[in-house]
Amino acid sequence: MKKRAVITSKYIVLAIIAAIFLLPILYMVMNSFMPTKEITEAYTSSADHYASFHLIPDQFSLEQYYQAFLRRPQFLKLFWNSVLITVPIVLIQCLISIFAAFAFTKFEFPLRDVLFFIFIILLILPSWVTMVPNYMMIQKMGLLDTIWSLILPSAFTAFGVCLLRQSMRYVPDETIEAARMEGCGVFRILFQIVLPQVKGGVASLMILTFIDSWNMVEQVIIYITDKDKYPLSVALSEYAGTDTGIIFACGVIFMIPALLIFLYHSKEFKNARV
Amino acid sequence: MKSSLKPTIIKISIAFILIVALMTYFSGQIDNYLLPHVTKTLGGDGTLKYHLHTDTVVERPPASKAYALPIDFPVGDIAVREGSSVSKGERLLQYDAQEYAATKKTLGENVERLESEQEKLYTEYTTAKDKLSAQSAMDALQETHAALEAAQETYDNFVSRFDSEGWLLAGKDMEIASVSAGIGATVPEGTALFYYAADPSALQIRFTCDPALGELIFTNSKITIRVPLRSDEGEPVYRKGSAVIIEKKSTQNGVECTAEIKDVKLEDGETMPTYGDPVIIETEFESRQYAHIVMKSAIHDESYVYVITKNPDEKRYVYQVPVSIIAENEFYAAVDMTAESLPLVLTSSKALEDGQRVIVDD
Repeated sequence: MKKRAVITSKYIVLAIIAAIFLLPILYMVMNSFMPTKEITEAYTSSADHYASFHLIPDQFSLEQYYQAFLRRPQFLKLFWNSVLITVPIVLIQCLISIFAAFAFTKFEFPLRDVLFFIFIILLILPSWVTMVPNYMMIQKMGLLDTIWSLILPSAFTAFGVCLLRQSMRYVPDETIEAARMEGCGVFRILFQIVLPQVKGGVASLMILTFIDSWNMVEQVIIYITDKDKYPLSVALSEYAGTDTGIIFACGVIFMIPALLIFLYHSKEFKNARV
Repeated sequence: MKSSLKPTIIKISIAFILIVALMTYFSGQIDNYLLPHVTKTLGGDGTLKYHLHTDTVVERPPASKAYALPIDFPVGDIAVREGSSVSKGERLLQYDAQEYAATKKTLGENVERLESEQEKLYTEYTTAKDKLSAQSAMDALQETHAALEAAQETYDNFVSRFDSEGWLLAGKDMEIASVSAGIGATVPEGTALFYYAADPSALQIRFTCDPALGELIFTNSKITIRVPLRSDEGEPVYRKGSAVIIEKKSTQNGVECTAEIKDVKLEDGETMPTYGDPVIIETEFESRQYAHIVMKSAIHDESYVYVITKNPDEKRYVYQVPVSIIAENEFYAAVDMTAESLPLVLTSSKALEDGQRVIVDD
């Protein structure tokens, strides 16, 4: 009986925590079905009137989606800016991390542990610390105000290498040795022997990198001045000031790619050994 | 997540990407198609020519007309009575002798004073040491000259109406209908001194002008008209003529004007119109007020216009700007408004809202 009560109370606490985490998403989705007028009325604040908490729409409407998809072409263009920035970062970062992690895990070479220690230090460093040198380098390369100024600094992270190194440590050396004896080359060993065993780690890295790049804000503000090149993550805040009426629908559309990627990789993500 | 759901997620992802891609490609065109297409017009500063009067017809003049002067008239003596027939130049009423002499003297002195002042200013102008002093003297000279001309006209008008003993003289042959002035009384300016029988062959028109324009209309009192000739068949034939405004008075409906028809150019065999025939007033009265002129079709509900602005996003938006109409004619209105330099919406393919984005067709 006591055990049952403990389990019940655990579930209650977990449900409350889940509700707290889910509420903003639910709030955004519900508000995306409000007509513009209702949004404007609910979120207009003044000295004697505060914006109200308004979860359930008085009137169900697809006006925000109509506006976002059909009447605001600029919004969708910004969506593709996000895609153009995020996809290369995810692919390049995963590829570099896979090669580097494989080398650190399965190869013996001088100063390997020292180098990895430096990687760990880089992992500890906040990204803002490297922002100024990065800016100077990008300026010298003439890449300011281009999407490459966002892609190149994000193409490598120590985090990805560390994450995959931990995953690859679980791959038995015997399987690699056996493959080598069968005549497999390094790349075949990596892509056909090791990677299938670290799918969870790669999926985790992909999801985390995707979310990190998809929500990129600071780098954009520093490296990009042309607002037409802004990704949606930054542009959304601009919309929030001028187009309150469609901001929730924009938020939902912005959330969908990350959600789909997570759902696709959720199994590997849960089973990942890191 | 069951692995069997992966194909579904892939399908959903592809569908999502396709929808967003298609929408991105077409939304610009769809948006352009759905947005109101407007044509623009620009206002301009200037004066407005306008016809602003009620329809009018030929009327019979009243049996008698009032005779009034634009000056106070202290009556010294009266030489006529009801039924008197007077010829041009005969005596009518006497301006009080002492007052006449005093007024004549005052008006004469005023003219002399201004003449003297004009001479003095002319000397100042010719002997000015610098350009600034010369300009100042010239400005004063021009003002004085205008005042002198007005004073001289007043003096001449006063003297020409009276003989040397202050008797008011008849300007034309007339039959006195009644005398309203009494000996010893002072008749105020604009009030009838006596009434005389009107010319029964004279024709007149009456019309009312917009009250808001009462101060703006009639730069001169002679207006151009067109009157129809009497015809039994087909479209009526009109002949040009003129009418002289003989009376203006402000009423609740506006400025009511009475004008006597003169100088209708008839050809052989044609006769003057008769009572009840419509008269077209052709004179375009010009607003004396320099104002912002816009096309009337750009004004909505007679109270606001839509101005077109280019926002920082390089797109065109329309905003309501209130206007107040000072004067208007068939196509244009003189308005008081802010944002005069911005183009206005002339026509729109759809109903507009304040702050709406539009496509401007050039």
